[in-house]
Amino acid sequence: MKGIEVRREELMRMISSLEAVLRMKVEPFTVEVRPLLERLRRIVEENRDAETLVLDAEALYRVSVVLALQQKAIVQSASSLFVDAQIVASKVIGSPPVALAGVFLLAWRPLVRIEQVSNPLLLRGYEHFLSLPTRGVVQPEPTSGGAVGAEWAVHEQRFEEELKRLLEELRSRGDWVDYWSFLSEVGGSSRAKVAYLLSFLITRGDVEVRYNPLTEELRIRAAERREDSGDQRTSLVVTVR
Amino acid sequence: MAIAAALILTSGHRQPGVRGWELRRRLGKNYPKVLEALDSRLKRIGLRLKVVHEDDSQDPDRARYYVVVAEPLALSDLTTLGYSIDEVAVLAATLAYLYASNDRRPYKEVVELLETKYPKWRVESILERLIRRGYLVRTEDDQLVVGWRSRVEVDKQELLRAIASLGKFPSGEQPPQPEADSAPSEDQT
Repeated sequence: MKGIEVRREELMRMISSLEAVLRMKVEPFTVEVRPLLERLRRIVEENRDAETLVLDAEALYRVSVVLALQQKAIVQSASSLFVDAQIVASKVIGSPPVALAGVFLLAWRPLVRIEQVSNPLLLRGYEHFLSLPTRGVVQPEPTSGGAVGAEWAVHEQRFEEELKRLLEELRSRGDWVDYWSFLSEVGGSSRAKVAYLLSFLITRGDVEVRYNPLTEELRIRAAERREDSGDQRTSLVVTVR
Repeated sequence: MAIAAALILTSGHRQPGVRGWELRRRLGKNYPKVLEALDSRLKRIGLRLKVVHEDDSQDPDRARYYVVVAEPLALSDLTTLGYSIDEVAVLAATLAYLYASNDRRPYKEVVELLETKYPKWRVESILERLIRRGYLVRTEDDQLVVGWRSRVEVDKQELLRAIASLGKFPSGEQPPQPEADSAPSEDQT
């Protein structure tokens, strides 16, 4: 019985040492596979109980992984013609840069590629551009000119009215309300627009914001009294989900 | 053949070349035959088709196809191409060192090796340029790794053979030029 325990311990030691080789990525040839396999065979022949077989299978699996690493190392060494880093370093140190550049040219075949736009390609791009739908009328820059200035003033007035309406809506809620719920309730399908308007009100100080970093709760309410002094204005970036 | 050449040469991706499955989609299942014909046509003007397999599989659909120069260049061509001899020397030393170390080595260690030839600031600036050009990659754990462009342009074994034979030639003299391959080269990375 004691012998079985000793063999199991031996198997577990083998497994842990193989695991260390795999985990610490040490040289795979430090493991001598043949004696290890012979020892595994002897242990299995002597004890055929389930636990020993399981441990044996586990050790065998790790041996196979080490073998795969050894094979990979051989392939890599062969592909680098068994020239190791020390030899390369000594050659680099002992050779002038011109000689290094010279030997590089023997192995170097630069890539050929064309980086140019052809006329047919440009034409196709232009056709695609023309086929795109128009995104809307671009608003001209406000100028001091009479007609344009008047039009701009109308837009601004309309915008102010919308801000005022939104502020009244928020004020009617009374106390603090959840920002996202407010957006959904008031904005409906145009939540982005309400968020945009709210950002103006917040910047002006007409709306107060309270953020709880623990619950990530964002609450807003209409400020009781708006201060007109521009110095106290603050900006707040609000993302719209 | 013209379509194949256009696809391979004018690929608009950050990385040039085109994958086999992209050629199959455009040229049909017989695209390897088209590529063979293209390769023989390219050889007449000193170019050739290069196939780079990016994994263990030899599946032509998953390989990447490039056009490269067929014959070695001369030292005097380097400045025309926009490279300095120092840059190429650093690239040669670094690649040979990486190839002999399973394609990766700590950045610091490579800089120390190159500092035997150039001041540190010069080494770092050249390495930075080579990284930008895709010849080398600096990983997050500060390792220097062989880049995609070196896999395409540089013959690993040829470089190591040439580096190993460096002391056998009088200083500054270039070793004999290798003969150009007659078949399309295949490189497995």
